[in-house]
Amino acid sequence: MIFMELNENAKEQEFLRKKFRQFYETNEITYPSKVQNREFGIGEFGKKIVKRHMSFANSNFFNKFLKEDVPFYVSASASLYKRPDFRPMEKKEMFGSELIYEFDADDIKTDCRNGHDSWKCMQCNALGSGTLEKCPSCGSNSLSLDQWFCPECINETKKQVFALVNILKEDFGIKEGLYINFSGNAGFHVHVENQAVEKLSKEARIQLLDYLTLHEINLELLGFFLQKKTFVCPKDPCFGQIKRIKTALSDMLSKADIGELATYGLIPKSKLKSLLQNKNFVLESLSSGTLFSIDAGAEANKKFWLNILNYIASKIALDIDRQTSSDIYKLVRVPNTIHGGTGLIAKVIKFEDLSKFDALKDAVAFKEGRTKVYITKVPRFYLYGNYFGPFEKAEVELPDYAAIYLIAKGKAKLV
Amino acid sequence: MWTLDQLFFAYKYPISLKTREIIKDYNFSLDNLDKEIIDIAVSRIKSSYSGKEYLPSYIEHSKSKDLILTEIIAFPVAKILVSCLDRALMYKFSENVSSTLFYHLNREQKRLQVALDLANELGIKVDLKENGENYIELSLVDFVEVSNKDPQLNLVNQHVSAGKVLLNEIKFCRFLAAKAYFMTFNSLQGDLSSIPKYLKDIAKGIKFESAFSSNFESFGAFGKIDPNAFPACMKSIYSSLINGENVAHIARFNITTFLNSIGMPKEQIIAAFKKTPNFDERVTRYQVERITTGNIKYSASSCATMRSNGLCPDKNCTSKHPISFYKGALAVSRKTSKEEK
Ligand code: SF4
Ligand SMILES: [Zn+2]
Ligand SMILES: [Zn+2]
Repeated sequence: MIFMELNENAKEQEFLRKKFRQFYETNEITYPSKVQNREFGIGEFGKKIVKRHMSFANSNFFNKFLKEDVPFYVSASASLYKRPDFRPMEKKEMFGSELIYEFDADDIKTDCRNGHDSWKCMQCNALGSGTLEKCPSCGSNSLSLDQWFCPECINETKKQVFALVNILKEDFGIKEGLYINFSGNAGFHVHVENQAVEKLSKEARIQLLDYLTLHEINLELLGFFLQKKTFVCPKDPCFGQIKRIKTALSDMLSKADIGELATYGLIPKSKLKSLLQNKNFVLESLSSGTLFSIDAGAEANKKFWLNILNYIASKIALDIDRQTSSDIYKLVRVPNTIHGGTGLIAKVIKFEDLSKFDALKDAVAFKEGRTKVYITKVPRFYLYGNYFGPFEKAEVELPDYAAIYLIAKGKAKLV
Repeated sequence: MWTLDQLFFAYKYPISLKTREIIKDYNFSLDNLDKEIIDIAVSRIKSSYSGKEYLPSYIEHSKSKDLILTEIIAFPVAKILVSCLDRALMYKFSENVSSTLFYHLNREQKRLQVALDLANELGIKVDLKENGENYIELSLVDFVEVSNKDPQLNLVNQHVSAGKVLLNEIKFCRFLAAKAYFMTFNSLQGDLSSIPKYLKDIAKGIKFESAFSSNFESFGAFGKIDPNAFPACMKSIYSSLINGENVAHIARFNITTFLNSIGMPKEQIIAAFKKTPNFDERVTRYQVERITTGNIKYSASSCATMRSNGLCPDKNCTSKHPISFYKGALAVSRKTSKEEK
């Protein structure tokens, strides 16, 4: 099977490899740091990792390898090893590990996805737009998803990156070794590379992760609780997660959307009348350490506030995957290399530039040339400042970056 | 020479620098230890198995420097003996050092001062803030290295700012106790080759009064149930249960799903809870039945989940699932017992 597929795409793969080689011939890759201590893994067309446990003595050898072998994907370990090519993992002798947090647009639910994504049920052949987990007509969860990304969903991911970097700086006090790169597809990686974090144990990393995702947060332990008849909260000034929760709460209360408050507080609207009438007072007492008593008994009041607070916590918690983020053996795309599934660069971005970074434009590698391709079916998509498509069973001549993007995604063939 | 106060400090906080200095001073040799010291070391190990803090009553109001000194010397000897024993016991022992240390610290009249002295001896940098309830400030990195030990120390429920964690006095004591756990455990896995044979024999000879060594007859999904083949996480919960310690809800849940998955009969699972404080058969039965035969199927947690619940005591265990650990260990122990025959 695999062989047939490979042969089927032989021409396309050769084309991509030629282009990628050009890229590596003209671009020196200066990441990762400490090359000699990293385990590397490479991937081929349609497969992110086909080989791992590789190592390079220095950056020159690594670059030479990129020019000669031109892998479709290159990843390096977040961890540093004395002997990165040894196996099994224990023999590598790890002596440190970067902190890397990954955000992916496909983990974040945005409305634009109904516009560009589609699914097909492998059981009953039903089709539809958007991204689903289960087939709405037969309930099966074997769906084949066709996912695309647009500036809107990538910007949503960016918001998470901003929130994370803010916490890393403000709460964790990380000042050095922090950098961000685009994943080359639809996400961002945030790296922290400094001595203070390098030696953290796996358990310590999980503690940090739990803090970022507010996993099992206990609001009562943090100072939100019923004291006699009033529900108290930490006084201003606050910091850390408490400050973020209080800020979000104060935003929610200043909007004073009774529907929202009743829904998330699980309480009839009628009990919220005086809360709404005394908005300013409510906000003032929030800052001085009490939450306004609504028109209900002390217990009901407590439940109401805890419901609201827990809802807020779930909303501001970062969407970081616990599993991959705490995996110290993971391999992560080498910054500034090509993502073989899109032909885009996994570009390193300065934090100051992140807000104006237009991933689907600024990460484009192949800006010149045009290529003719046959496209099976693609939705309208955005790349390098232009919109293309939708196309269906069409032969079109496209700028190289768009042709490469579709070929790499397996959506187009050379003609 | 050492004052009585200094000796008491070293005895109560055996991970301190002071303890090490005193031991160095005493200059003892492993080759011919006093029987008294060995006996104390053994009883310290045994007490860790019972789950009770190690508090020999004759020490508390003692004015005898010798008596206290013997206790101090017995600590490293106990560590050596434990190093010859199995991992589960190493955890128990470290746990015991930690809880005993907390017991002492918490009862100090000048608790804050003693805690700060201890932190200082351990090289932990601490700052005191002027006001507020959480006024003890330490580095986030120092804190997260040990905070997973104690659910009350979970970072998500602490006051964090600019790379620092702010604690109140009692949490600070808990932090030191957690630190003691890791310091003790990490100092255990040394090189066994330099230990005299007679000490190894003494270690092997230590008998534990627990269900681990009693004849445990129960047949489960993989044949006879063998608690010795349990992974460290389950050994630790299980022995706490049968020793009548108070076990957190989440730990109870996980041991139940685990025992159920390896096929321990329901009645026997219930019986395992019998010694826990406030045991109520009706409630336990209801809970165990809900897990084992209820509508929702609860399967045993993976290591990832165990870890995130703070229930994985073994950093070096590479298992992915406690059940697969058990199956593997069982296969090994059966193979070796066959070979021995
Ligand atoms: S790794 Fe898994 S099996 Fe091993 S001790 Fe931890 S939780 Fe238990
Ligand atoms: Zn279907
Ligand atoms: Zn989109």
